Amino acid sequence: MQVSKEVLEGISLLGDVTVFQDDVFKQLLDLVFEEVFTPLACSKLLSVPVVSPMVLKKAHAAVVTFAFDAAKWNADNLSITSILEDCKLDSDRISNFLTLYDKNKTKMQSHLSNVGSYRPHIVDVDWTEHYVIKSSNLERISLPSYIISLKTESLGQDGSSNSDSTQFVCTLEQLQDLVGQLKDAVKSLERISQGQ
Amino acid sequence: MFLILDEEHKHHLNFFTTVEPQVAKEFCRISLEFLQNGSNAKVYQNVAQKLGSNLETVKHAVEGLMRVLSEACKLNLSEMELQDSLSILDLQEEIKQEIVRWYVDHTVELRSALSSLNMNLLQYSSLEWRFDVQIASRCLRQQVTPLIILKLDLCKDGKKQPVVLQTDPCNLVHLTETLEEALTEVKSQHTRRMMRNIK
Repeated sequence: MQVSKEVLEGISLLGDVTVFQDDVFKQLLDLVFEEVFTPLACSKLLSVPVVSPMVLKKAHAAVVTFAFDAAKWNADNLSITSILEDCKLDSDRISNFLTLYDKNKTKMQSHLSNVGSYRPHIVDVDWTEHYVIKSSNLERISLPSYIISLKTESLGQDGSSNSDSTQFVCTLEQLQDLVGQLKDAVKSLERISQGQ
Repeated sequence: MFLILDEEHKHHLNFFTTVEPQVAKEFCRISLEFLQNGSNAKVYQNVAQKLGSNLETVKHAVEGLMRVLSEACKLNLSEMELQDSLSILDLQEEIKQEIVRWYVDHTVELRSALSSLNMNLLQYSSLEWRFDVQIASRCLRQQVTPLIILKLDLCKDGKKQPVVLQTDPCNLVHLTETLEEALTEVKSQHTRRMMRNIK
């Protein structure tokens, strides 16, 4: 994991007890991790009592970047500690950071895993069975027919999830083919998961 | 069940009372081609020239025959039923048999063509799948995310439309189980009773 000079400078500010007293440090840290789940937490920053807004902004940006970068690389406590020590944070503050980081790591990582481009993800399926008797083009059909609707979810540009569906019809033979293919996929998945 | 031919249609088909069986056979072939690929003005012209007859007459004869074949398919007439329907026309026995034989030989093909006109919905054609494990992305390294990529080939008006979707193992199992239920439903008492009673 590589940390840029700006981030290191920002974190060093947090190590300075004259700039960030203990309670202010805690308040900032809480806000940083709250931000993962509520985007609007940022506005609460204004209520943090600190000497200069510029310093606050720099420190805040540095901690957010550092926390997410650590989650991105799945960094262990040892390497995080060594970086924070280099920035002259005392052991209390480091353990404070680590507690919050450990607590939120999984959530941050699932957040990160959603960033990127993915195909629509199938989450459910609906089906209806019909017995087709006749149509405008054909009398005496008398065959079953199915309408399958695959429910999908995809992530929009702004990170919101969009639901959609893919609908198609199939005959009994086509459905048998479809289910056969899917069963094949499930079987080979089971084989792989059992390490065979 | 019988094929009901209106007067104009009969008039068009009367052309076949004047030709040789060999010619009728050729017309059956042309009609089938018409049903498969659409009409071809050049073919009409060639045939009309060869027979020394009117272009309109040839066109009407082919279209009339085509209509007989497609209507018979639509009603799913049996061999006997078609023969009886045609007996109203004063056709030579050989020509009648020729038309019936063409019908019997191509019923399955024609019915599947007609059933594909059926609905404007996408029709399932085939499925391909691939099992992937995502091990890293720009935003998250060191992951092990199993993904199943599904490529569905769907057909509409004879054109293939591929749709690529993905899913995870849990949802794949759920999808498979749910569709299996749909498949077993066809063997259920309710479905079987419906199929038996509604003809």
